[in-house]
Amino acid sequence: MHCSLVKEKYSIILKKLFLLIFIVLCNLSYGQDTPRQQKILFVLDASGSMEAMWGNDTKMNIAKQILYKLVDSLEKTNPNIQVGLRVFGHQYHKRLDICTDSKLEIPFSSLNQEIFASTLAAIQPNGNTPIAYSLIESAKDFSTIESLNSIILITDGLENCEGDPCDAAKYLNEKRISINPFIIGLAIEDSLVSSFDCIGSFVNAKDEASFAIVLDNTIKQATGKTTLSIHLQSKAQQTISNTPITIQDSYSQETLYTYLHCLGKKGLPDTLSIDPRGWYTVKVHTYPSISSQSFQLNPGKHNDISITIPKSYLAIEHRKQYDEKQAHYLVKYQDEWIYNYRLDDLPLLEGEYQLNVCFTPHKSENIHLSSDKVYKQNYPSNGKLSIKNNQALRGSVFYRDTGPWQLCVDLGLFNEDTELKLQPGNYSLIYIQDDKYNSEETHRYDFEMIPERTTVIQLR
Amino acid sequence: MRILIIAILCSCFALGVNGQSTPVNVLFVMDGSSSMMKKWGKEDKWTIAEKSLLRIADSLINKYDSLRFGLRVYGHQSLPIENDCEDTELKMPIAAHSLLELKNRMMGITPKGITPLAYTLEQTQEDFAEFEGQKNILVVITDGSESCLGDPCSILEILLKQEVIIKPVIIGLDVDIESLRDYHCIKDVFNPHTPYEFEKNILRVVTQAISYTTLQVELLDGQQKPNQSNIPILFYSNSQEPDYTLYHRLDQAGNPDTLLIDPSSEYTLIIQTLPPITKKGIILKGNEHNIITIAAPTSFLEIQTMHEGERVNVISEIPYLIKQSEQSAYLFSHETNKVQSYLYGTYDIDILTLPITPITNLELNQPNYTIELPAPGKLRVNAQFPIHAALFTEINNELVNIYTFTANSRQEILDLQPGFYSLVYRFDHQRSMKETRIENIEIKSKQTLDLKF
Repeated sequence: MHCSLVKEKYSIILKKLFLLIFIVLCNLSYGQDTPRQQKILFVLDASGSMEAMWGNDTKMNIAKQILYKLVDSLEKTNPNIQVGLRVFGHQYHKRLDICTDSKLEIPFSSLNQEIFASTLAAIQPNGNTPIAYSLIESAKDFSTIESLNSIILITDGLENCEGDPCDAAKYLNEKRISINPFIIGLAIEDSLVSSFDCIGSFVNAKDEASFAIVLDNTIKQATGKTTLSIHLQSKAQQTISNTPITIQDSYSQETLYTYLHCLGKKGLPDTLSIDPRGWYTVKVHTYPSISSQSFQLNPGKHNDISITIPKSYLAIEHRKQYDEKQAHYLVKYQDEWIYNYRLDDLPLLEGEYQLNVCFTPHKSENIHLSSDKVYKQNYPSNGKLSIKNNQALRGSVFYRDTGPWQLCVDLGLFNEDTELKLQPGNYSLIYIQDDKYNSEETHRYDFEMIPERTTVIQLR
Repeated sequence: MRILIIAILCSCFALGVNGQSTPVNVLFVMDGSSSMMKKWGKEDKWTIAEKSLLRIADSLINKYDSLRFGLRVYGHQSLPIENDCEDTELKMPIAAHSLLELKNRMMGITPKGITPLAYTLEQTQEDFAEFEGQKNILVVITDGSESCLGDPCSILEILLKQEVIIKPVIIGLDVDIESLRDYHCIKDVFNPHTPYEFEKNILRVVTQAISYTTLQVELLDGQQKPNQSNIPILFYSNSQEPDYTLYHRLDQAGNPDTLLIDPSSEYTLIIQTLPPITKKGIILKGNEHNIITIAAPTSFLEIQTMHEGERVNVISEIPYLIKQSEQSAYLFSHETNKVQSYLYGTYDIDILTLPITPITNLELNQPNYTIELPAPGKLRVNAQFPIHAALFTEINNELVNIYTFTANSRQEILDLQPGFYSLVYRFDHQRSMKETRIENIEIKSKQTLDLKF
């Protein structure tokens, strides 16, 4: 009775201990998610040309009004979004030709319609169009890249300073500062439209009404959920899953996400919600690994990427009941090593592999794996060689196949019973008593190894 | 009295490497003393010796185109009571005889007398006089020790000192140790105990005596000194089966042992170091002492499992594969904590730890070399439900999947090298990639890390 009480107490302590360990372990592991906070930076053109009439009003005024309305509606629908406003070309007259005329007029903060109203009212179109400079400067405006950042550039013309807006946009994307800018053109000439392709997604608003729609759509895209499904299939279109994958930033090579690939309930790859900024590379950790081409996501939309894995299968047959130890296999693919305790189920691909097994003698095969096919490799069981010895001997075991003998065990100087596991085949034991100085005293003992049989050489 | 066979090679032959073309002269000296009439097994010793001699002659005639042979018999003319110490007769002078002639010459002989062996050996010099400078071989079949106070050994020694004998061979036929003492100056003494053994060995010994020439293989160590030894050396005259499998030895004076090799073939010599050294096209000169010098410096390599500066025993040794850096195929597989010698050179080693411990361009150029391998630790994963998992680690700044768990496994035990790892796993029943968990772990030498999911 007393004893069982102690046991009970002990088991409670154990349970508590397990709970503690469990909590600690839970804290250690973590999930991976996309950023929650969103920031939109409006970059507004206030160059001299914005003074031009567009329908019933100037371009500048139309842009101001629509922006104002938009901020109003955003404030009501997406309270988590922070908005900032950068304006260029409004501080100096065109004649002064100032190419650094760009200013963050409203730093990021929660939406405030009044601040927007008063700031917008004060802006007067004036000078140059330093788009590249403004984009580079905007990198500083987002104080962090932890939030999901986007830029909406509203302009009516091309860069007229030395800068290259394409390089600037590329820089923002590579550094994952923001997704490629959305550009809303205000009645830009058709011949000039293609100049914006390299900067980001360009939409030309033909008139005041379309400007409002385009802006609205752009906002939806910038604030919408971006999702990705990764489809892995073999050459024969077999779906592959449960393979480890990493998603990397194509430029920094940094691993952003690590997953074990998964199929959902309908047998389709599940949908990842993912940061739309930057360029991605999906790396599938087969042996060797396969990387997708670098790709960009369509923001606010569902994206599919498909990777063909020329998966192959290697099946090793080796009866190892007779061997206490597991055979060690080493697979080599070009200069990459693949080492596992077992080779079954390894995610190998089609191609040339070197298969090595640490038997005695060691086996080395160059094998060709074909996609969607199983390559069967059979290794016979070892036999056992038992050398009974009590003298000081020097000995070596040679494997005899075709061609010269192959040294497979260097026994060195030994004076006791020795056991060896050898692959089946013909062998010779060469030995000499260590106190004999004459080479002709070398003895030779030929024997055959038979799987799972013991051969005894009596030298006592 | 017992049968004793001495085969002496008098290598006073002329130039010529190929044994096929050099004239070979064999003089058989047969014991015709009374003791030869004794039964040995089913037959008397004379009959056994006679039959054997005919067999040897037959075989030698077939093997050597240029073979000439003769026959001298002693102790067959006078009775023991006469104590005739000059009872010796050249029955058949050395010439290209047929087997039938030999048979006829032997037919009328009846053993009856004593053993004037020393006197007989003296006479043989005259028998060979005509063939000076050729490959002259003396094969003595005798039934025991000297009867006439002569010293056969001193006669043989004279021949040796004149450098006409390179390999004297005695086959004692169930001879007592006392009788063998007469031949103490002879290096190789054969003493078959039964007629069967006699039959089996005699031809081989005689053939070898006819054929062999001397060779010293000098193996140079790292200091360019011929002190390297205890390595198997194999001579091949064809590609499959070695003609000689010998352990290279140094004699008591520390010189490479003198080997006796048949010079009639061109050899490929393989020094069984790792990797082996192959020396092709070795042609031995039959009329002189041959020396081959081969650089074979080796380094004893040991991969030791260590922890905090001390050696650690591992439960099962870790295998490694080694190859020469410039080769793509592995040379050898061995294990940790075991010494193995390799030829000086540059090697790549793949130690089969998890992850692989590669050692590239290892320069072995000293007699001993030790590699310290951090002793592995263990990771034990127990999952409540089946999981998919992979173990990642950073290798050369890249995240590498070093181990893929068996699909749907619940328990795995891995030996891992000390270091940092990320175990990426997901329960099979969780149908979303977002459920993938990452466990960052550190493995320490000799310690087991338990993970329970």
